[in-house]
Amino acid sequence: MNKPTPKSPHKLPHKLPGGNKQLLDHKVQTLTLQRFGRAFTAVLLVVTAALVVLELTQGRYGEIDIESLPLFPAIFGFASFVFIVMVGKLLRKVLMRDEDYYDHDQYFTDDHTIPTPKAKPKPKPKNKGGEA
Amino acid sequence: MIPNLFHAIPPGAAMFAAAFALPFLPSSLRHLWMLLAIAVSATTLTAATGDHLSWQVLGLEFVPYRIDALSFPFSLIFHIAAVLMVIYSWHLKQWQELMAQLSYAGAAILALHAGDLLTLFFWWEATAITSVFIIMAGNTKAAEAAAWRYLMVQVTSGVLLLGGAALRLAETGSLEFTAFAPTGELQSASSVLILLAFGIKAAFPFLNGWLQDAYPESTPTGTVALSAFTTKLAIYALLRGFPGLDLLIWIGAAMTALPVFFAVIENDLRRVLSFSLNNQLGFMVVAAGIGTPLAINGGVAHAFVHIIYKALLFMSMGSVMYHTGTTKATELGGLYRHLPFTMVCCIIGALSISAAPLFSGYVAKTLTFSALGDTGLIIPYLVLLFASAGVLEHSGIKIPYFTFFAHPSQRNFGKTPTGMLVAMGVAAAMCIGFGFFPDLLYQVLPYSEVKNPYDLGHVSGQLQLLVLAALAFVVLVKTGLYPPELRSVVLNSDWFYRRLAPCLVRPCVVAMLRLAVWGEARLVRLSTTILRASSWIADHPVTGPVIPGPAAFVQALVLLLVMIAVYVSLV
Repeated sequence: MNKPTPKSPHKLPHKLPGGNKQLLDHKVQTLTLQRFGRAFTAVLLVVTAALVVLELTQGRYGEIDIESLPLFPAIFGFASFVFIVMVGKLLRKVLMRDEDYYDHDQYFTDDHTIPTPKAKPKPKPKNKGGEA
Repeated sequence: MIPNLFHAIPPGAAMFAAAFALPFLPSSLRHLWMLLAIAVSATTLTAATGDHLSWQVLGLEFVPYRIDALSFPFSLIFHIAAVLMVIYSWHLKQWQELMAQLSYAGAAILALHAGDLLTLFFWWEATAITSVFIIMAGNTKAAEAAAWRYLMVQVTSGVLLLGGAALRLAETGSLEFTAFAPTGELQSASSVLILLAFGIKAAFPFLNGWLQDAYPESTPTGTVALSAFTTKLAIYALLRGFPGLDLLIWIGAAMTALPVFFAVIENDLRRVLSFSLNNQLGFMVVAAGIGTPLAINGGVAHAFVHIIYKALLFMSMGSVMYHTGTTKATELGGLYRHLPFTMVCCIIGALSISAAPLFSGYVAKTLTFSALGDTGLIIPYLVLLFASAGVLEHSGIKIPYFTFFAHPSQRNFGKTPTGMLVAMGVAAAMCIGFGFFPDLLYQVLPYSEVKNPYDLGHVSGQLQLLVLAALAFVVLVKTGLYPPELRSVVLNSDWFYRRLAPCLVRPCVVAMLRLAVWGEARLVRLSTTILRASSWIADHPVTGPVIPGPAAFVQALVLLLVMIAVYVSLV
């Protein structure tokens, strides 16, 4: 049986309490965020181009020899970021648990009494002669 | 000369003492009282270097007040952090948390000025005890449980420190708080114990669980206070106690890299900041391990600016929590238009921690990188470079992105308390100020060795690293490879004592308790049987009249024991 997927708090429901006004607001926000994203990407690309030009024209030295290789910090930064995110995704399978993982305490109760072993249920006597 | 009057009192003492008056003051005066106490404490920083207070007790020398080039910058930034903490919590009326905050800050400053190990131990434990109440102020069941675990770990650190001090006294006859591994190697048991004690508070790998466990459970104001003192006190202790210990370079490098992976998958953004704090401590530990004047300067400078930008990030998350009641990435997003000032401050903190040029983190980190480059150790250098990209991922991008952007928001917001806004504004201004004018920072450092951070090579290299790492984020988001946030718990090293140890130890404890209960029942039964038997014997003598039984039997028994004792003593 498939588990019901929890509702995302960010997914827009079909009907909002504020009606059309809120739906419109949601749409405007989404477009604004997309615009922010595009602007951010554009700035990064421009700065990257400027850094490449600077590297090729002015050169650069590093604290260690390997750092002085052309565009080493750029390549290293990009690769490191991707590596961190990808390893993080893999680690989720090992390290991620439900939110209430630590909430269950199987040994001690809240009143700190020693748990007693559960009594074994007595086997039901076999009903040999029916109800009578 | 009024300031001279205070030169006999260690910095922090006024704050620690003043904290206990807070319950008796009206709530409107409490914050002013706290600021007054910090101001009085700060006047003692004008004292010249040297020992200003020392006592001889039982042939041991105690130095409760020492000030020198290393303790001064830490003490200065602790006072600044205390002021920010008070302003940020200006709206807070409960004296309990305020008292814990002020006494905690005072105890941490007093620990900085300890010239001997026993005084250090005393204030080391005082910081643990006072800060526990800040965690408990979270006022949830989870906060209370985390506070007890935190206390257990912190007290363990104190016990190790005390044990190390005792061994040190036996080995050298001195309790002076000085370098314990001057040759760059651990050569005595005392130095191992002391390093472990410092390592717990500095959140070394696998000793770090308490940090991510406890800090995010406190209140929005409490976490700001917690982020400033305990761990930086440990960094100070490492810089003083173990400069040049090679092992610390490798431990520090591991500290910078490991938390990065945990921070990527953590959902609670205050916990992400706690992992990030751990990662930043790694840079300072590396600096302590290098131990050259430039590296020590790097470690001190990093601790100095880190306290401000980390407090700023925790303050911005505190502001978000104040309004929304949560800092879980899955519940946030789109707050840019509701909390624009908080967003700007958060981005300034994020740029500072990512060491973007013109921000405070950059001018500090450059010193450590230069010092590490001078050692010729390539692997730790590359690990630190890798961790710098990691810092950008979790603190530079993840925190602002998931809080203020990522998704549209349909929330309603009230007014942010003025104190919160002022504290964030001041901290943000300091982050930019130290970035633009690094000499302001460099002039308080213990040594004169510094490097110009703004030469083309350094700036260009750092920008390449950060911009391309940010571009990687864009690519991963656009291609759908960036993992979405999920409601979850990420297992950390606290799992060992929260889950594994109980699984192994608790059944044994329960079995032992059951055995004790069973044994007690058998003993009671045996004693009853003996008493009954003795009564029966006394009531049924072999010959002669019947004497009231138990009394005669006891007398005979006593007589027998006396005779045996006399015989044994004669033989």
